[in-house]
Amino acid sequence: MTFKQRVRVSLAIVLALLVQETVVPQTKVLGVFPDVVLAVVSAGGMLGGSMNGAIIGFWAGFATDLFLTTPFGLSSLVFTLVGYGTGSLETLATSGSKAIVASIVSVASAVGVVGYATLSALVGVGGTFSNHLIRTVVVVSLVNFAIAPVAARLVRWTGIAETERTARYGAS
Amino acid sequence: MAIARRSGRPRFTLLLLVLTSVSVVTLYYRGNAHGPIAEAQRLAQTAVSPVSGLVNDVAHPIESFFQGAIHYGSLEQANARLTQENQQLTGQLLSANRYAQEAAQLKQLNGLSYLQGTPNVVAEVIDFDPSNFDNAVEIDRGTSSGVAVGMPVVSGAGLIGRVTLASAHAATVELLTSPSSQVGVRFGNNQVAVANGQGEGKQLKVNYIPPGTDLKPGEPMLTSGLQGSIYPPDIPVGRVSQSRDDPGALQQSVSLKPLANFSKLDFVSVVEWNPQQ
Repeated sequence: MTFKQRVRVSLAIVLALLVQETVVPQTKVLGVFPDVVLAVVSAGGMLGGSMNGAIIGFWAGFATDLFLTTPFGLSSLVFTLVGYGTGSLETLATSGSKAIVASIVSVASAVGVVGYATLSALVGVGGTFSNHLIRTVVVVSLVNFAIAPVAARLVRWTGIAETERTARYGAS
Repeated sequence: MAIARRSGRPRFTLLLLVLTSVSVVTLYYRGNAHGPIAEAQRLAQTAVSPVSGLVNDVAHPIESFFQGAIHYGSLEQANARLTQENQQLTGQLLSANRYAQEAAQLKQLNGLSYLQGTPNVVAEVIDFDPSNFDNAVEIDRGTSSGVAVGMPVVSGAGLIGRVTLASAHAATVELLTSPSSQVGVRFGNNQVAVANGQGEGKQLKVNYIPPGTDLKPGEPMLTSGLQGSIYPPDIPVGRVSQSRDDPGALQQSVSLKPLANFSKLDFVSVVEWNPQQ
């Protein structure tokens, strides 16, 4: 990652976080808050590779934790794993199909939500497993499917997707 | 931010980041990181709260309009021929109702009998925490108004939670319904128990009530205020909605319905009470 890419990745994370903290609270869908940051992390992994995905996930999660009263570090742990996991599927993203990218962002978001609930339960935060979790998983994955093109565009703007593609397949 | 190189080892990076995250969680639980973390959270809240307030100001009327549209959906269908003027009047009426509700809430907060003269700061709820596993709200008063971490927060009906983070002009309030919330309660003949949050929209679960305890639906529970309690005594918490004696169980299964309506929090009152008092 070049200096310019690092700056842009930082800006992308801050932008996603600002949207999550200021716009999302006004847009509850069926009683569930969408997770914009998770969508950006998933797209970051898909398009930027597993290492960049893990790094983006870590910092995005760390920044997210600053605004939560749940145990600090949980979001960074989950987002790191989600970013790394989607990065391992980047060969699918290179097919260029927006539907595939959106589908994987959607599934990764669902996994992220379940992962967060599981880790929360493991560290003693009760009440995370309930019918509400199912609704949360469904809504977050559907909303993130819809916003995946925007998240992917944001990640492409950072330049890490281009670098990753060049490193993997060579300059075209 | 760490530099990702193509020649690097993704698994090593992953391991490093996971270990860092796990260490932070561990430090958080051991309490060693509360100082720096709380300071970082305060800074983040200070930075974001003006933007949050601005977005809230813009979104609030739009939200009210859509809520009104949903609420009066059938009426709108029946009155499809209504002119633009009528729609504007409906919007104005909804706004007026909202202001009336807010005025009623403020009136309720003015002179809460159960606070027994303890000073308090009236604040407006400006945001709901956008997390699906965390029940908290943000209010528009912070340390510059005398709000501090640990202070109880009440509505006209009763306890709603406590301040967990306070910056200069905003604060985060963890609601009673949050899974990590616990409140010591008193009921009946000075019997005590602990009410735990179970998540948004759910009733509280009351623990440590021995089997055979006479408990009727509707019985009120107040904060116990025992020594070391994080809440002062005698603030209304909720009413028993259900109690059940399960055979062989070591305690009764008791549900408590909070008195405060968490879905309609516009104004709240931060009680200037320190847990160390």
